[in-house]
Amino acid sequence: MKYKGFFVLIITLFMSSQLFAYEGGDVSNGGTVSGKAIFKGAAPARAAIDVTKDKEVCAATEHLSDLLIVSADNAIKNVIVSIVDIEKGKKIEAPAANPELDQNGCVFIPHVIAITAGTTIDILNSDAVTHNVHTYPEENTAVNKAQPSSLKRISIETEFGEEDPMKVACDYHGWMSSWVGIFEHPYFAVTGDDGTFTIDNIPAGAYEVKAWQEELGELVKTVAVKAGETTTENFEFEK
Amino acid sequence: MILRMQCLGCLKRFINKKLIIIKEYSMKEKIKIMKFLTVFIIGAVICYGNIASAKLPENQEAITAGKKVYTRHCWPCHGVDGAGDGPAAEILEPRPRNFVSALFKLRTTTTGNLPIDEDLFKTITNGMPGSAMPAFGTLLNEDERWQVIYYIKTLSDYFADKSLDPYNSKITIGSPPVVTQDVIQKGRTAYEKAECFKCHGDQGKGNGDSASELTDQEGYRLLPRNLTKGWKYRGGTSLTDIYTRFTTGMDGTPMPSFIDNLTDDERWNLAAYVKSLIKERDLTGNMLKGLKVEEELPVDAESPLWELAEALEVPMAGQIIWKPRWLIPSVDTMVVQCLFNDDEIAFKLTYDDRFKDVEHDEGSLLPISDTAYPILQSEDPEFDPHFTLNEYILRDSVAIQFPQNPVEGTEKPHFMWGYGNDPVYLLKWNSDAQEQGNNPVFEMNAKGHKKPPKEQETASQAVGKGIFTDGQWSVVIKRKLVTEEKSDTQFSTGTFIPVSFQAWDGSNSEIGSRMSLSTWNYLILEGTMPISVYIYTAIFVIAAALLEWLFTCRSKKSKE
Repeated sequence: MKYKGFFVLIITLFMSSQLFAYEGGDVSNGGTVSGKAIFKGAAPARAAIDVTKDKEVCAATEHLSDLLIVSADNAIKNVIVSIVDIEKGKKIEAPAANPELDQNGCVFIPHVIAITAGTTIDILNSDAVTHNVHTYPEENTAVNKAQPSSLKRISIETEFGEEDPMKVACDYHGWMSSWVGIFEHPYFAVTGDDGTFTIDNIPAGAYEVKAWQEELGELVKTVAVKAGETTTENFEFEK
Repeated sequence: MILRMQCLGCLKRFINKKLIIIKEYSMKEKIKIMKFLTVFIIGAVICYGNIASAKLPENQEAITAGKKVYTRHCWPCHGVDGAGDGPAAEILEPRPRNFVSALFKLRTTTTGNLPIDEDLFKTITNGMPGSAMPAFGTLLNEDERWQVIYYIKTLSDYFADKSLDPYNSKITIGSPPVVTQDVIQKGRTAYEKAECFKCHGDQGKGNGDSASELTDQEGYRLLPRNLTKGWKYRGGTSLTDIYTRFTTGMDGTPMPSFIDNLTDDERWNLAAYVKSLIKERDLTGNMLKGLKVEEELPVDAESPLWELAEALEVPMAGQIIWKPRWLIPSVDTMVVQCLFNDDEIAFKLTYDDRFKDVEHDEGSLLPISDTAYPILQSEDPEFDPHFTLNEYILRDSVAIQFPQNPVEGTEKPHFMWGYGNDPVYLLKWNSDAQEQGNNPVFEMNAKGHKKPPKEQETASQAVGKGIFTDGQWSVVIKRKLVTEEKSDTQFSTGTFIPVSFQAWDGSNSEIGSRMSLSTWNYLILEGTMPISVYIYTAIFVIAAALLEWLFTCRSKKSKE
């Protein structure tokens, strides 16, 4: 009886891992969800990053803040849109090459990416200064490694999906940050300059679709996906 | 020092209580008790020295026992569930470890991995110097330490995950090199190559460009180590300890792992260099000897005259006697010197301070009549003691405190701003006044902690100047030996004048009673000791010996 609590824990863990395990396969006549991330109100201007250190490298080119990028027609860039905890659907395809986050001019390029769990991310240092790659995951292994200019590439492995995107930052240069959405399924997208996204080949059904932006938080909508059809769903964010 | 005093108080009460009990025992029993105590103390010493030990088996029984230990000692800081959110957490910096997120600073495993049991054992045994984590090596026996480790491991899912077994990610630690100047020099090269100075500063004072912006994993301020202060190295100061820190990184903090970009040799060299930065401190003295010179006394801290004056190193502690108490003081040690001539007296105070804070604007957050006594925490629900809010900017200051009136015997005013009928006199230097081109030294008096020191009505006759270089203030304060002002302390040769010190670090939100302070030391102006000191000492020594002899005789008699 002493071990009762322990067994309960193990069983719960086992069940919960079963609960979220994703099953990939062929999807016939899947539906599509597409839409746009829209900023409600006057589009805020992007402030210039205040470079306080290593100016000769970091301030060589002017960078604008990546925290919130809204176009003239109110489209929001870098919003991660995903289907919440989808259990079954299209196959997960491993990327041909590891996705990269390049530290270039003391900013991360790109600022936001999304991957499937198990993908290895390569962090590059294109600068002539030392950065430190510091990740802030909930589920995966947190890493903090120094990356001088001589060390061009650090690989970071991922293993589990994350409920919220994982922050990747550099402590030396406090303004540097980027976000990596990590999912256990392939149904996610990151909005581009025009704020649009498309997630396709979804088995018909009702799903929760989540849109996340680092400054504005998240919006969740229930979307009915119909076989062979495209459902349009826009996400309107407010500050 | 203050802590020691408070402890002494405790001890006294304890002994008083015990003595009453002991009185009821016969002499035989007393001897038994003494024997037991001796064995106990020797045992405790041996326990303390002996860290490597046989490991207790990890089983349910040990976990249950560990929970008891945890409930007794750990939760007030680390929280009932181990999330690092106990009731004391709010006032601590660094914050107590969050066992649930399981990011540990002191490990012998590569970055991102859990610590092995032996790492946790070492941390619990030695504590984390410079933080609130005490060394439990003297409080818990080895079995208890293993037990609590096994319990702590149940607080996080990570330890249950066999794929994360930390024993698979142990680093190999070779043997440290023989430290030579060459090794230290190579270590300096590695220091520059790895850009350690970005956080730790060029000379390791913890004042690099990024120092003021760093946070821990949860966003709380975290300052890079001032590498010259060996007594604050969380994981120890041996070469192996230091080597291990930058090999594994300190997870949960901005300190990264350098395993991939410094070779093993480079890391050993770096360890030797970092260790060479440590300044030993000697806190045994409490006598500040003024040096008599013929020259005019310098206001400049860089005057060569100061090299002649003897230095006294004074330990400073947070003010925790009266509210608002201050548990995260910035200045923990101060070096003081004194010069005098026939007319004047000058003091030089040197101490490390990462940031130069020379602006002062108390803003609207301090709705207190007397400016130096804020009650920040209760007035503002948003107040976070870990950060200086933007609404106010606070300056760096230091003060030298003396009893206002000549002391008789050992009676002294309270070192925290005196008593009502036993006031103190302070010479306070404010960096903001200096920055604005005004006289930075203020003459003040205080009559107890309830009212902050009050500036004298007549213009200050004291002068002074502070110089800030690479994370260090050197402040000189100068005054006439004798003045006409009644509430000034008068300095004369040949007497012991109690003297104590206080410091405020602006960017550490220090003002009023939120400060570092020392207890009383003694200032003596003269190379020679007055003869009375020798006579009194001799009398006391003889009296003590007599008493001891009497006691021994009596106890022998009663035994028979």
